Amino acid sequence: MIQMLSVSKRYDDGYYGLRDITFKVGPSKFVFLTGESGAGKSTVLRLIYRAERPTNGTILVDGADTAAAHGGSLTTLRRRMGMVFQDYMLLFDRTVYENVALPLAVRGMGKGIISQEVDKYLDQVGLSGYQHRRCCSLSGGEKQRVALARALIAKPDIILADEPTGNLDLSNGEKIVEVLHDANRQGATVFMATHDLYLVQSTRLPFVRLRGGRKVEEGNF
Amino acid sequence: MFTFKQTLRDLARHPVRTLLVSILIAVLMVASAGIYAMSIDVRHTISEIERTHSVNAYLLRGLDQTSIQTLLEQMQKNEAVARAEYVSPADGLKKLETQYPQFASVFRDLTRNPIPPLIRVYPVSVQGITGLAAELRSLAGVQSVEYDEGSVQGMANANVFVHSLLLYVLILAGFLFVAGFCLMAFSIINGKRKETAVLSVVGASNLQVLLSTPAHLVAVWALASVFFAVVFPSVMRYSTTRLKASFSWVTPEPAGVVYAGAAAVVLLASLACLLLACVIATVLAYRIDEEQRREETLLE
Repeated sequence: MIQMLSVSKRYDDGYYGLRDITFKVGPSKFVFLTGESGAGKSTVLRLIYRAERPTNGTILVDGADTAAAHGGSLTTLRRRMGMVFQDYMLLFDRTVYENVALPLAVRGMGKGIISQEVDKYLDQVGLSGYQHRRCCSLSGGEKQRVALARALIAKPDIILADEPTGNLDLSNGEKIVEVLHDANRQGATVFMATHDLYLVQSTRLPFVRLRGGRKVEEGNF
Repeated sequence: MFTFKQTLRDLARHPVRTLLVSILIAVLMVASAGIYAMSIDVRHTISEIERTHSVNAYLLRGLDQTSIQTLLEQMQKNEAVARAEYVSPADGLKKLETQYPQFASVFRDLTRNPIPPLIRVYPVSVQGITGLAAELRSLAGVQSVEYDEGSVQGMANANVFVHSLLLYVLILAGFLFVAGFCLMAFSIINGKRKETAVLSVVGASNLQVLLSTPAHLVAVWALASVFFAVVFPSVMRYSTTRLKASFSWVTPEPAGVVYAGAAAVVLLASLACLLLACVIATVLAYRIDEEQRREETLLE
């Protein structure tokens, strides 16, 4: 479960990214975080995976304060999460296999298990046979699916997706959301930031809406 | 283990880039060590050339052997004197006959030996030759002192010029070495910034994130050192051969010691640069991990 309790984020230049945000994402839920560009969606995700610390308030992941996470506990926190970014965050000079295998490789898993898991997750995102392709030669939709396979391969409890469909056409965007739904059905909590209100409305899933760094709405369409 | 494997894969993934960077660092190392060793060689050669200069101390005629021996010992004890040798009038005449065989009949017709007895004094350095000549002149039993003043002055000037030149070249080589090495290191650090950010996103441990770039730097340095170890002896062998060909009469210093010293100095300097680069890479990785993720990942 993710809980944000009266969270504010103020940057060094005095700009407030978030002001007094409180909401909860229950375990195994699929929740959208929506709002226009600059509303503070990415800031919320960054705070959850502790790329930044809040200026005020508390962020709890399964009851543990993320701000207190440091060193080994920070690694443990991040290993429970899978992250998907709008700009993919892939290593483009490497193959699809190497990118997807990275979360398991850093956990010290054996070659055989890694190979098996990579095949399984590439199959799940519809990229079977892409193992040896270099990421730089893939289309935007394919890159995002590689990023998704990388986020899912370590079987995280929480998946944070920051505008994963932002750079994609409708068809590719739907495929990405479908894979996230599959992960959610298997028990993962999915928290997805998107500015696409149509997508949020069509799925009828819970959402949190931000505007100018403040929460303006929470509920279901 | 992950970092080690990842580093090897990184090197193998871009073989041309890896080789070029390693070779470039090795070239910088060989050039710097070569110039350092060459400066030692040149200094040694100059001092050998200086040792060929001598001061002739002509003795009074009729000086007995005991007095000559005393004078010789007195001169040999002087700190400014490398060595001194007595040339008797008979030996002097013999040398003249050997040097000028065309005048053999003239030498044969001489009724008495006109060559005065002399002590040939070889100074430690040409710099103090004027003072040494004055000292010798003041000794009892010495009639006159002579040396090639023009040649000594020319040698002294050349010596100062060569030493200054070597110093400048050495400073320049050192600067180029440090600048080149740091440039290579920073290009590697820069190239690894995204990987560092990705590693922390996929749940790598702090150690894996922080060691990723330093491990790469160490691997490239190790490869460069191997190239250096292979190429440097050959370069030095070649330069020694050339030096010996030009100055066959120069007794070379133990080459192994000189070149091992130069190699050790350069390796230590490169280690210092490597250490600095590793510290910078680790600090950068730490900053990416702690606070700069925003710029490095989401907004890059």
